[in-house]
Amino acid sequence: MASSTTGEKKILTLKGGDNEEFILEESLVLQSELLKNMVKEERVSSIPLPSIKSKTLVKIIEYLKKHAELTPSNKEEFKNFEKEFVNVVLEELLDITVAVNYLKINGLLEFCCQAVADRIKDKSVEAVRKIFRIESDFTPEEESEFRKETPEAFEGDLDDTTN
Amino acid sequence: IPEELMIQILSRLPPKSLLRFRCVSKSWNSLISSPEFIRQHTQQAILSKKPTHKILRYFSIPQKKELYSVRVNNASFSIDTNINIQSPFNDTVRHYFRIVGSCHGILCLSDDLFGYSHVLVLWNPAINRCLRLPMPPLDCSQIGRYMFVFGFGFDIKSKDYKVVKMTYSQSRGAFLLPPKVEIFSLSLGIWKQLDGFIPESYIAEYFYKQAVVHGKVHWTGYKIDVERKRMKNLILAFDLSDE
Repeated sequence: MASSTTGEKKILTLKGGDNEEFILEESLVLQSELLKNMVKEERVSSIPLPSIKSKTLVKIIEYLKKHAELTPSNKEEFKNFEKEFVNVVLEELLDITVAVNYLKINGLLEFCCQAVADRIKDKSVEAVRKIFRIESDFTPEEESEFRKETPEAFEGDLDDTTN
Repeated sequence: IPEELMIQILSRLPPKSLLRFRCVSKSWNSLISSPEFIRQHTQQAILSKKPTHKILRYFSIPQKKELYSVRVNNASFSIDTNINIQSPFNDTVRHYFRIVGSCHGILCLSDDLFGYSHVLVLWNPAINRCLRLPMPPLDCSQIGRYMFVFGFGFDIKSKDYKVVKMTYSQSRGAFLLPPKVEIFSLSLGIWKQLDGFIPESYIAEYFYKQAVVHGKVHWTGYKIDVERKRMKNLILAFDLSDE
């Protein structure tokens, strides 16, 4: 694909995992350290991102646009947008967080990590294992040692859901 | 999920969640228990500027023991947000103890306010862990009457928590200078006697309050000026990194 220019703005194509293409202004993707380096080093016009689902990419582009429009006067509006942005099922939030980490969009990464932490902090051990697809390698005896050592960490209403 | 991303997420969790998630798997347990992770978690807690907590200590007359509760600092004194925590001393103290200092949520407590007792502990109320420090090496019974002060802080250079003890021996009603200085390093788990040159020093107040600024412990101190028959008050500093 050839590099194209409309007016003064450079245009770039991002290709999601399912081959869906997203055409956007180059200035927007500069918020990603990874893409910024790619664009600067070699003059590419199309970047394949096979590890990122299109659904996730749509969300991230939505954020990049909003963030580019951020001014001191619409700070409140942006905060509300951020809150809504992470208000998705946990699996989707994790997909977004992993993609943002890969793309190195620093401000958003911190926000996503905090959002994930807030969502899992009251989860039960079993729920956390399911969410992160982890098999337990502790014996039931070893596990009960933890419970004996710090019973207060296992008390209260723990959330068994994975979303 | 890449490990460094997982660390980013976990370092934003409260201590209670981390204690629970240690039993998710062996690799999570070793990650959460590692000194590097604990350091990052502390750093994160400082950066995030969450509302700080305060610990309230009160004595219950009917129960005849000290009770503790944690309150969020900016909230009013509402009872429902309180979390009651266990006393670090488990009823081994008869009187209330001295709070030497606190750093990154760790408190250094000493039982020396009433008599020459040697219970010195580091207490992390958030994870309910308490470490009783070993006895300092200096044998105080050899030096007759004496007085000592403690200091507690974090040494940024060696990334270590340290306790400093200065012992002043007494002769004919006056404390002698310079004091004997001993330092406890939490990472090494041992006391070390400071030998070598001790610069001009002063006597720290017995009812001292310490303040740690830029890795230096400060006490209020004084020196008796014999000629003018008056006391000079000043601030005494000890650099934890340089020892």
